[in-house]
Amino acid sequence: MKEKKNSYLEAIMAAFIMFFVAAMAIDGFDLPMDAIKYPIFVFCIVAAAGIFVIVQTIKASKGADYKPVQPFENRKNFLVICGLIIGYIIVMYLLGYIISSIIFAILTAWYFKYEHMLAFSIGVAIASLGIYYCFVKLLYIFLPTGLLLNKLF
Amino acid sequence: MTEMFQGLLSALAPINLLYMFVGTFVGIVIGALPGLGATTGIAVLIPLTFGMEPAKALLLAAGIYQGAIYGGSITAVLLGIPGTPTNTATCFDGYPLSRKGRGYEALGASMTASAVGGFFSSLCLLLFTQLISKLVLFFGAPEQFMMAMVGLGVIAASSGESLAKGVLSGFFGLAVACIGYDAITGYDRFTFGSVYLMDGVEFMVVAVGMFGLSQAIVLAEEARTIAGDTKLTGSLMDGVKAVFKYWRITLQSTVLGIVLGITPGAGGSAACMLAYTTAQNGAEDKETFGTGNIKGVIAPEAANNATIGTAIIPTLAFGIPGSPTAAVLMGLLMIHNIIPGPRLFTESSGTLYTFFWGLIFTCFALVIIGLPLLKFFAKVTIVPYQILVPAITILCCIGAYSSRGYLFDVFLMIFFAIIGYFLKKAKYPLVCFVLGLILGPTAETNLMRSHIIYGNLSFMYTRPITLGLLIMLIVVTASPFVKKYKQEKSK
Repeated sequence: MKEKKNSYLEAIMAAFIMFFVAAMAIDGFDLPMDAIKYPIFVFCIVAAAGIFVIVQTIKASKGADYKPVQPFENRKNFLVICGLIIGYIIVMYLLGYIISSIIFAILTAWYFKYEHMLAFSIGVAIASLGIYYCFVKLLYIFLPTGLLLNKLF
Repeated sequence: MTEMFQGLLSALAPINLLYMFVGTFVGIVIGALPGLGATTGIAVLIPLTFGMEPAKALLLAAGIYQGAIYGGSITAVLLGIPGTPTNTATCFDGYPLSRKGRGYEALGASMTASAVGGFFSSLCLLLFTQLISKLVLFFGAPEQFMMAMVGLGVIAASSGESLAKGVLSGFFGLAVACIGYDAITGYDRFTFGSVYLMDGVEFMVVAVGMFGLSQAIVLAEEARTIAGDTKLTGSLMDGVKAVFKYWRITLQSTVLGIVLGITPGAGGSAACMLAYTTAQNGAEDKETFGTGNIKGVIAPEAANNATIGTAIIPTLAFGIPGSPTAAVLMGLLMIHNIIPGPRLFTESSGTLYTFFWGLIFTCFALVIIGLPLLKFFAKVTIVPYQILVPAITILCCIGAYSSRGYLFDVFLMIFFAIIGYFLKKAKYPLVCFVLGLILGPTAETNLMRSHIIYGNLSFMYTRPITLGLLIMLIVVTASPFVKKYKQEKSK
């Protein structure tokens, strides 16, 4: 049986959190002491706990009963869905909520090989319009109308 | 007493009962939509009530308030998306239960726990408003700071197998909470030059991303329905029975909700997280929390609805709203010429008691409306993932966008969804992160305020309530270490 490769995910996440907090600390470098007293205390604890987790993970990975954490169940599906979601938001910015939601839902269902595409597409279009109407007309919450459509009309 | 009785009779009038039921139904629907909650529901209601009698308008608001806080648990259980921030902890065990095909049971438990919590809290409001309003005055900045610290102390006990991961996760939450405008010094901190971050990171955006969108990614990755190959088992009544079977947890969480509801600034989100962690730490099967333990649904749901009644007390007694929902409710009261403050009970007691009774009756309305609706809702768990993944994603995006109306928040939600996805895979306790994020601003602001007043940290032990809370903090923080030490010694 092929042995699972260690991803050191726990240590990578600890390093990411430390990096994030370090970026925050650098961003707040010019602030007066009164404004950063409390955050500095928080950042120090993050740094200490982060180093501890990294050391702990490396130590534990050498143990005989260590089970490596696998970050992905299906890497391809993960990357595709993340790409689709990011694309959805970019299209939403350009074309607005209704069009982007219809495109995103149809593309996702198509990628995952949904059988009843026609019925699904009609349902998505009706649902998107219904949600838009409810939010804008009943709840007075305006959903994105889209940069391009705004310029065109 | 006569006014209380008159209020009861008024609330029981058929037309008023109809208003309560309509309000509860609307509230459940609004609460189930991520990003919207009781605040939006009551705000939208205000213009519709201009021509109404004050009692009817308030009964409608009572229904929306109870319904929305409960409604958020439906999506939390079925899709892992908290409908309102107060339902975040419900996702931890509600969603895993749905994945095991026990969605009916989880929905039944959340509905009953919400009704029980809301009922006792509303009863407190009805009977002890004037007494509790005096207690509220004892809670200043030092007490609020210590309350937040006790909440943060729970991080140690909720860390599970690795304390270091729990602390790292919790303090990461505290660090994220530092982003934005500092209320004490007035400086913008850690915004990376973005104007969108000046108001800080919206809790709803983080919650929807970490718990909702990350679940959609998992479903897409695994290419399965929520319930997977398991069949929908159990019934709503199993959940109803569980609430009474685990009555200690229901009662404990209700009391916690009532107390935190009174405390200004603590709010429903903190109450549900603390009720969850308290239930987890006290349970014999604590290791099953997070994997689908029904107690993990009962505790937060009883607590968040239990904050409703008592959270209104500071608003009514002093005219100081303790939460955005209370502020909107105060607006509704004032539009109908009911002015909150010390003279409220002498001037508008009749209408007010009708409202209090309305809050009690809406708890029954939750069950009457909920039971038939939930049977259909639970079927969501067997909907094909090809439909569910885009549906959850679109709902999450609407939820993140509608909280402030910025597309930036949608990108932020995706960022936290990806972080949440990997943190979960790496077995970091997300409950600690959420606790840090919720309690961070309360802890910092009140610490700085207390420090300005006292000039040092002596307020922690010179005031009776803070001293009591300090002792509680030490006990809460030390208990997991003592437990571990005892276990090792017994081996």
